[in-house]
Amino acid sequence: MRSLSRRYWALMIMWGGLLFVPGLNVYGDEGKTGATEGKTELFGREARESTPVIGRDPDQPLSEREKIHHVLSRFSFGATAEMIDEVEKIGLEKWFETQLKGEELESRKLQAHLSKLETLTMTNQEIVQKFGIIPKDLSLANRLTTEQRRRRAELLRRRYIPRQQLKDAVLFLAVYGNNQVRETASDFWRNHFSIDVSKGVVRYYGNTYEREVIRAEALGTFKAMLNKQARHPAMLVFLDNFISRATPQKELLAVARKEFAKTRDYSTVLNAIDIAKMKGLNENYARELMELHTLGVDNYYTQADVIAVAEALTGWTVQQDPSKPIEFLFRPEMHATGARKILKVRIPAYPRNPIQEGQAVLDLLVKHRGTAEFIAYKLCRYYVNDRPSQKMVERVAKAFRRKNKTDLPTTYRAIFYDKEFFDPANYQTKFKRPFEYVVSALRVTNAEIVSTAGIHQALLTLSEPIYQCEDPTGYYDQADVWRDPGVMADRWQFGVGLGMGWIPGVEIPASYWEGLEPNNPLQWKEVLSKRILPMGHTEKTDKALEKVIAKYSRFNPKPEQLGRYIVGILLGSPEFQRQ
Amino acid sequence: MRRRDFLSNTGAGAVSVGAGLAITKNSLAVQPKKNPVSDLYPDPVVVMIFLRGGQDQLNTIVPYTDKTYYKIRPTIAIQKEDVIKLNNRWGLHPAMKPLKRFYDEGRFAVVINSGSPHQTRSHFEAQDYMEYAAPGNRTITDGWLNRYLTATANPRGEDPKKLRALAMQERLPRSLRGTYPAIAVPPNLRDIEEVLDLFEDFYSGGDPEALSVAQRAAARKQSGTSSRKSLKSRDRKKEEDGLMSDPIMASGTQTIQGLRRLREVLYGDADDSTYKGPREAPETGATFQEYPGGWFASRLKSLAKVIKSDVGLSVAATDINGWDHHIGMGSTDGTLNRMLSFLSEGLAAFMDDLGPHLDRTLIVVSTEFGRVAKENGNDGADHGHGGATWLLGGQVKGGHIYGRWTGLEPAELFQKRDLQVTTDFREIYADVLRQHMKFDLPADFFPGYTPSEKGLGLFA
Repeated sequence: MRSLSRRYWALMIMWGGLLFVPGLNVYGDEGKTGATEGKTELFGREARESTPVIGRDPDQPLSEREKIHHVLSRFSFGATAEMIDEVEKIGLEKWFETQLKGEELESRKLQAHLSKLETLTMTNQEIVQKFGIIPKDLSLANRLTTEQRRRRAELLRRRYIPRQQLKDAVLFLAVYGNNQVRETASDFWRNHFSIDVSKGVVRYYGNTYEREVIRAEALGTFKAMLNKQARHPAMLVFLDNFISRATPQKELLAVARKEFAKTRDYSTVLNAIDIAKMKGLNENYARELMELHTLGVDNYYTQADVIAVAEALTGWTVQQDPSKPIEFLFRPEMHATGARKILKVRIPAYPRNPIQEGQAVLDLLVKHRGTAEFIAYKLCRYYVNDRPSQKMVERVAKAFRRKNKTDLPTTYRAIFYDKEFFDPANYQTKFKRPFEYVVSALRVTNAEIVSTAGIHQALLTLSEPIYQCEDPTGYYDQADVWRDPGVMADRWQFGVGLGMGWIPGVEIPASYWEGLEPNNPLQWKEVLSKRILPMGHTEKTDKALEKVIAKYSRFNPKPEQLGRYIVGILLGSPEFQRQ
Repeated sequence: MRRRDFLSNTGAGAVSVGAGLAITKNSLAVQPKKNPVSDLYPDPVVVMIFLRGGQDQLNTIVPYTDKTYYKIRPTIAIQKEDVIKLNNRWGLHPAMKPLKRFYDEGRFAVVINSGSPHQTRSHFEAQDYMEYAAPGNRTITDGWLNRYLTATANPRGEDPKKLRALAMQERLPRSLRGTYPAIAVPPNLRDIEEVLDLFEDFYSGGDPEALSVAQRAAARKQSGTSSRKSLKSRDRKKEEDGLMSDPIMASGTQTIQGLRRLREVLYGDADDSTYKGPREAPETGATFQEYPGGWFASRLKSLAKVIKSDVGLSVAATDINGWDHHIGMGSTDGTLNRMLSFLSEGLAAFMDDLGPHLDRTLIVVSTEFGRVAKENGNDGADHGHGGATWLLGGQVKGGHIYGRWTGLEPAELFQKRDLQVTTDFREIYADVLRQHMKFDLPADFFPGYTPSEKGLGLFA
């Protein structure tokens, strides 16, 4: 085990403290790489993906400020007029390159929020010991006194603390983080290697997963991230690989019984006997490893490959006894040793070092061209356009594969500097996911988050609670998944609620209303719409806004009340749904 | 497939009539059923319930006399004494007890070994293909139910009082996405009145077609056509046009219109309807079974109210996630047990609540694939192929287990591991549309697939 001081130092880097290298961003899904079948023009019309803002000719190349706005819309959670000014001063490229290092100092505000979340720096073992154990005397097998029942209920409640703090940290970093490129990248990878902290003991392991897998490598390499997630207890449990094993062995059951005798008071994880009883191969992780994490669905691999990969990864399990570090464990007695053909490549047996059989699979997948194509496609879809051009995807894939490094900053750079990135056809054409919508709304309003429950509730209503995507696809990032008729009502609720101060625990600071001239509501409209929609809005929105203001002004509201109302409406406007 | 094969599973109680048509005692009892409501109400309704994750057929519709079943599922098989026996071959999982009486009344049928011929074992791909009813075809971007709605929409524009298509959940299932503006019902429907008014001017006039046009562009782009180019070459109209064909605007317009109407129906007095359905409705049936708790039942309860309010509902859908039982599916004590009783209790209460309206309401329960025949040793089973489709209510000829069973020996299984698909799911959907919805199915409705003319004989 690493020394405490070294670990502590590493944690400070990842989560808070002086250096601070946060990163988060949300989306992933199975993607569909450019299918070639059926070139027939099925239908007759094209939709305009963007609506023209007053005075903007959609054919004109982006102006410098628009370019900055575009970058801040994609590589950060939303631009404000001040941010655009700031980046303009620094220079766009310089800003981007600095951000890629992820070393910007974080604000005191963010550090203060994070420092209250004790589980962020804890190990899995510490978390389970502190939050995951119900003592034997409180087991339901006993007759409990009222007092004991109360204590038991309290302990059961505490089990949710680690995952609650994880969700809070993700939220705070996205809203207040100064390393926004890292935040958006983490958002992407969090959904690419998605886990659901609602599933059993994953709730205790999510914190180290975010820290050691997602944030640690969001500006690192894909290779490292893939290898880390394949060994992380959260992923091994979420996708069932921890119980996938070769043939049953009676001796193992005996060993397990012994182990269980030692740890029987640990009631919240599958105990050793359960594991020993499991006698089968479980394909779940092997399939998603190829379908979702590397190659893309049915891309290059077959069902035979799924089985072969599952076999190669048998024995990749988790040490879950809370008296020892909870971490990756290779159990040779669960492993099926053998030579296999995977993706048309022969992987030899390693009888003396059987873990190498699974490792060879990961190495093969990292280098596979299908992985580069799929990852590049998804990154372009996330950063550029729901339907990125094949040419651009190819160029980005090439950068990803450069020297087999799978270096992620190199890949993000390939997107940023690509000739298509600033094409006006990509400007303001992504529909915000609920997470992006909520975070950007909190950012443009300088919202103070006193407590997070109201925000998490809103994200749940909008179908995107943090770290709780049931499907291993992660949350999708394409518009057509999110903009069904009916869903806008929930966004409007949130926008108006935030403006009016109805979201519990969230407040727009008084300073936000400074500079509003008394008795001049139309000036307020100008000022506030510049803050929330810095690059302007449509004629239609303008008229509707004036109408609402006129109507509301008749009630002689206090200036701040009217300001709040305008903010709420702007957050619900069609323009604010785009990025 | 031959009709003879298809009907060959009705078991020992079957009497052979004519050309291989087998009828059980139960189904005979159903024959003289009268349809008082469907005569009065012209509109048939289909309620699509999708079980996401790959629902296991073998532990749901149990081949309890098959020795191999008990051999390959030593831990999780449903024991003979626990099975609710339907005939001398098939039985239901005991958690489905609330549905047994519907089977006996001839209002519940199952098509075993049904599903998609596509080999994918990816949930997400299999669901897409099934909900677009176009396996292997990535150019289709309108769901099959949406295609039906589009084809049958009023060409002069829909009566705004009509609520033709609803998903009783936060977002639409893919089967409902597309050209026709189906509405996803937000969970806090009660509280949203104010914002619907507030944002009306911001989102008015959006063209619902824009919703699907964007998706079509997606399909085209994937097939290699540059949308950029088309954007330029096509008419770049003035701002007004651009706005109207903006999918976000369209989504907003539909949100306001649809949810307002739904709120009227659920919370207000829907009798101001200008939709001229027959007014002299018979009393809706007494509630025989109370709705259980939980979100599923409460969605169905709202849905029943919409159906009974007679506001032109044609298609409704809701999903149940979580059928991916790699671990802990269990026999009568695991996750499957819990979920089947959740589902069955909800459905039974819904059907009782609908009363006479059940005659015009068909419930279809589908899943993207079944699970491997052999258990996996983790008390569960991995992704498989053939699965069960359930049909309840409407004019279904229930009390039957339809579909061709091929056995459980390795040689009888798909790729030696999964149940075979002997009934293409499109055959079932085609019958649902043609016979229940009385829809004149266009030849190209299922791209690249023509369902048999005769159909499966699922309906009276």
